[in-house]
Amino acid sequence: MNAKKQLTVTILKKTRKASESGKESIKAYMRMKKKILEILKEESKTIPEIAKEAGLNIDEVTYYLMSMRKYGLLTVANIDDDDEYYYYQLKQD
Amino acid sequence: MEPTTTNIEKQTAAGVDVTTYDALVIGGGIGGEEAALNLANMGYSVIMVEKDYSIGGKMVHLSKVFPTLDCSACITTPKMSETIRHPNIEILTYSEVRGIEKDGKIFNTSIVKKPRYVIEADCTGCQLCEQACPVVVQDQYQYDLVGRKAAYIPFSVAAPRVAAIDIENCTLCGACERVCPPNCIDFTMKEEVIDVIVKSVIIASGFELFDAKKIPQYGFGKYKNVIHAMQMERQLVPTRPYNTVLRPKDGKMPDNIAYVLCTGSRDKTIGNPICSQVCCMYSIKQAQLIMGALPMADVTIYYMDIRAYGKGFHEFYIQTKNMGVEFVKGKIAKIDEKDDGDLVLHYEDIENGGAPKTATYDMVVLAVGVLPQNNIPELFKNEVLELDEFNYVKQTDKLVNPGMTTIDGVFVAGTSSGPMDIPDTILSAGSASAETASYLRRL
Ligand SMILES: Cc1cc2nc3c(=O)[nH]c(=O)nc-3n(C[C@H](O)[C@H](O)[C@H](O)COP(=O)(O)OP(=O)(O)OC[C@H]3O[C@@H](n4cnc5c(N)ncnc54)[C@H](O)[C@@H]3O)c2cc1C
Ligand code: SF4
Ligand code: SF4
Repeated sequence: MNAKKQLTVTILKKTRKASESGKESIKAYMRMKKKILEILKEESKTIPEIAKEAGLNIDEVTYYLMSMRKYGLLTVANIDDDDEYYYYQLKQD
Repeated sequence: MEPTTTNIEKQTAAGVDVTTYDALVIGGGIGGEEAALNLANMGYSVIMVEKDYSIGGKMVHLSKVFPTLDCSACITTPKMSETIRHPNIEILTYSEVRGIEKDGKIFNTSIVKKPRYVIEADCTGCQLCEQACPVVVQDQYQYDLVGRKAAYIPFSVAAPRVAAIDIENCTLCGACERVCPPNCIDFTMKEEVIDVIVKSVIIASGFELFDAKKIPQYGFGKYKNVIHAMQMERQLVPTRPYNTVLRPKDGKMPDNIAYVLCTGSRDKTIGNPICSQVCCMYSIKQAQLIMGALPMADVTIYYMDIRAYGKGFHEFYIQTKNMGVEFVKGKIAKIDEKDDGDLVLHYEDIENGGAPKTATYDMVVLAVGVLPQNNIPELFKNEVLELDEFNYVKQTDKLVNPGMTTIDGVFVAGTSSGPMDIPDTILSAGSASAETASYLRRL
């Protein structure tokens, strides 16, 4: 990290606007992340359980949960008794 | 002419210093890499222009290759590194050729290098920018199955392994720049135009995947559990988007999976009457890999004909049948989705008199075909690069000089000349580079 250097992003900001789609994506991710982390606080859950509990669209839960897993916020636990859905849990450090 | 001994020759044309290369290779897939390496190893200087952030083409994103089941990335990454490191090859990634003008025996070439907002030479690939970036958008290298950041390393084995900023989705928050240890994120970067002289050109710009949305009755894009074959390739690699092969709708481990062959191939109604050559075999390969990943799953392949034409291909097909994969000769009319995400296939059962039937699956994979990149002729400003009747680059002497095109000094390699698998792409690149070398010697 170099605090002395002027950030080049401030130069670009003079001629370019922040991306609206980028801002929307942050909002959507933060909203989903908050809900998913909240639901998984107590115990591990499957994707249908999370979607049902939070009243969220199931395919969005899958997409965001997998993105959270990619960025190291969640890990995979065991699979359910019917061998259908995995349980996901908060990453323990 | 003897091959140049130094990598790059500086020439003065009209009083301006312009760099000269023996060959320009357009496209850094397996075809372009092979052609560039062959020429570079003979001592010729090569400039490769790749439009993506990384070289590697489609092959670097595949799981394993038929019929040997060798790991695709393990075979192709050493070739990518060799190409990147070769002293006789200069690579411009995230770049496109803007125009090529023939002038006697040379081609004046103008290349546009787009800004990736990261200084390539200084980036260590540490991914701290990626961790800091708050944006999450669909990851095109995982074919949209999972998210990625706006500051990101394209994929783990990218070459060069350098971050890029997706400026279209960037909120200009500066978080990436603040954390970058070598200070290599530079938002003042601009598009650069690079003029070079080349003595020959190899077109290796590869193929495009058929867009499955063009057959709306299959529901791709609407029904999340209908995926295309590249998405299944990604689900089958160790760097997969999910923890195993799962349904994109609800993360369920699928019990039964159907394949729809010839999606977007051999179909005049969508403008592609020819066979894509690889879909039968990659589907058979994926069926075997699925049985390895999900031992309890059933796989059914709906086909028109199985075209297992290469060495060991028929045996691979029979082996797959013997492993329990079901093959149904049937034409799919449409796919419907049930409330639970299961998919109902409506098909014509050809072996049983063409009776209409239905079958239900957890997941459907569309074996999408390959299409030509037909914007390459536009690059040539004062010569005509002809395409063949299927819009691939026309081979003017297919039997004797398969790399030859309608422009003297311009050659074609790999899937730019038609659908083909990896071994045939390598052979095609071999002949294109040999023909180029012989042309350069005669100059
Ligand atoms: C789902 C699927 C599975 C497959 N599985 C197998 C398999 O198991 N075994 C097998 O042998 N084959 C397989 N194939 C086929 C294999 O992918 C191709 O044979 C191979 O990728 C062809 O290589 P290429 O270099 O010709 O083209 P590509 O891989 O398409 O590479 C072309 C490169 O050129 C770049 N480019 C395009 N346009 C431009 C431009 N204007 N300027 C600069 N650069 C440009 C592209 O970004 C890309 O990097 C499969 C194909 C698919 C779709
Ligand atoms: S400046 Fe853009 S790329 Fe960098 S962290 Fe912010 S949103 Fe991401
Ligand atoms: S741009 Fe900077 S922070 Fe990002 S990977 Fe490269 S060196 Fe690391």
